[in-house]
Amino acid sequence: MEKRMTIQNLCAGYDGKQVLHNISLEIPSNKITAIIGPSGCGKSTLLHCLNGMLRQETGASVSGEILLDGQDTAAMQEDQLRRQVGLVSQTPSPFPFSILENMTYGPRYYGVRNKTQLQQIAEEKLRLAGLYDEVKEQLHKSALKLSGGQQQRLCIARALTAEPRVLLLDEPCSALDVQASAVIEEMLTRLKQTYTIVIVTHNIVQARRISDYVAFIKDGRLVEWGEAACLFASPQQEETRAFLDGIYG
Amino acid sequence: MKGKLTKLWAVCSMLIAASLILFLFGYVFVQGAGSISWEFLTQPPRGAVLGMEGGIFPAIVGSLWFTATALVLGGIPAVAVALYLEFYCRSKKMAAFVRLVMQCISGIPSIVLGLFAYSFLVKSLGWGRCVLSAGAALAIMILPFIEVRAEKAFQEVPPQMIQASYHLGCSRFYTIQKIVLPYCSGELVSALILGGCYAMGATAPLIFTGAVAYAASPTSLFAPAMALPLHLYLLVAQGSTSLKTAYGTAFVMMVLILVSNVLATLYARRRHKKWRNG
Repeated sequence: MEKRMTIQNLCAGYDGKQVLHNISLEIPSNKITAIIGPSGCGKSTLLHCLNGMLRQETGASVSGEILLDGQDTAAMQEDQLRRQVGLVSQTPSPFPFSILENMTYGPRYYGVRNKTQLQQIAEEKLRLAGLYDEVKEQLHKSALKLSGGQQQRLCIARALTAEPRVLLLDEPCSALDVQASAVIEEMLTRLKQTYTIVIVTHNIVQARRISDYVAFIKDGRLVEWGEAACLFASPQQEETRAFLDGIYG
Repeated sequence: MKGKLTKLWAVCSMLIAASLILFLFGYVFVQGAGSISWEFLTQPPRGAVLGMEGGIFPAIVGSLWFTATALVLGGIPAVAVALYLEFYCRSKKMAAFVRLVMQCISGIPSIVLGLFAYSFLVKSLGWGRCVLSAGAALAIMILPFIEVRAEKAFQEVPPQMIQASYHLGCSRFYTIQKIVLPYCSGELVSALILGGCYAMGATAPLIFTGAVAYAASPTSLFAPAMALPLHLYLLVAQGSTSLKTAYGTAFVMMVLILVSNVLATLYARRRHKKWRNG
């Protein structure tokens, strides 16, 4: 297994209250790693550590090491790190521009000025997100007019314009219906050929369907992690078993 | 019963407030409309008692100069302070300190600002009585006024939209430039215009610093100028001979302020629609 990210002894907290305790985890390349656990266990905090956002928050503290392809992320420039480790949040948050402008927002910042090139990037990433055919006639329409599921796919496509090495998804389907979730799940399975994906979800069934690796976190501690098939079939820890059986969560 | 009484009280208060405002505007407009003419708007004041005849053209131009200077000197730092507090300041203590300073500034009586500008800018720095000295005094006066409104506007930008931009690896500056400022432009323009109206109506900071009883329309920041509120004050102070032109001056001032307000509201509403509903 080739590692994309390595997390070693990660501790994190806000305002003196520790949220993550000593987490060590590996994120394999071109796989989907699902992070599961009861609400409030620190899953989202973990994602915000991975892309360096937590370090920037007032009152937040982060210790331990996070490596991206062997390179210490703490030593990387913040915006560079965020570009390489993209994050799509829970609620779809398209910018109130047209679909095309949403897609070229990042590339323009990275210095792409050529219109044809911008259009190409937009098209390519929209195709990857499986949205292109639905919106190709209306690229100049406001992104706010799209449905919830389309907006979320647009946000994923937009995150891809940064050419990230890792794509973090924070419960991307929690605001969507079953059908829209299924479309996103299918897209993620396709995307893993090109990107490394980490998805936080409280939906065990979803994790079971799409993930290759799973990490179970409870009360800010990593209880266990490993290949999805193994972990779901025979969890080693009692707590994991209880969670999977739906005793709490 | 109690609920009904409260409602009655609320409705009565609203009616009293609304009718007072309508009466005030109506009164000034009725009294002032008679003296409004093309000549009044385009001629300098004349007459044995100055202002009894002629117009108020230099005062209109002067007021616009004072307001514009105040907006440039006060508006830019006000928006910058609001941006700093909302997006750059990471120390709560520092933010509390800056807010305290803003509150203190907004509490300074405007005549004291005038006195300060007179002794420091006009005298010590030797700028003399001019548009710039008075504009600076007005700028200090409207700075917290605009800052508070700008900060409130920035707070209303959905955090997930700002986060989404950061998550793409974009810098704070780019995010502010592309998301925050356009999102708030309606509120910002309206804050600036309201600040401008506040400055335009103020007399005390101008008396010693730049506004004079009579001057031609200014051509530079270092010239003194007439101002509508001071002109109005002088006309009323002269007694009944110039009361008619005083109402005319008040009429022009109110129209300027009313039109600016309406324009600001319309602009804010249009931007709002575009940015929030797609």
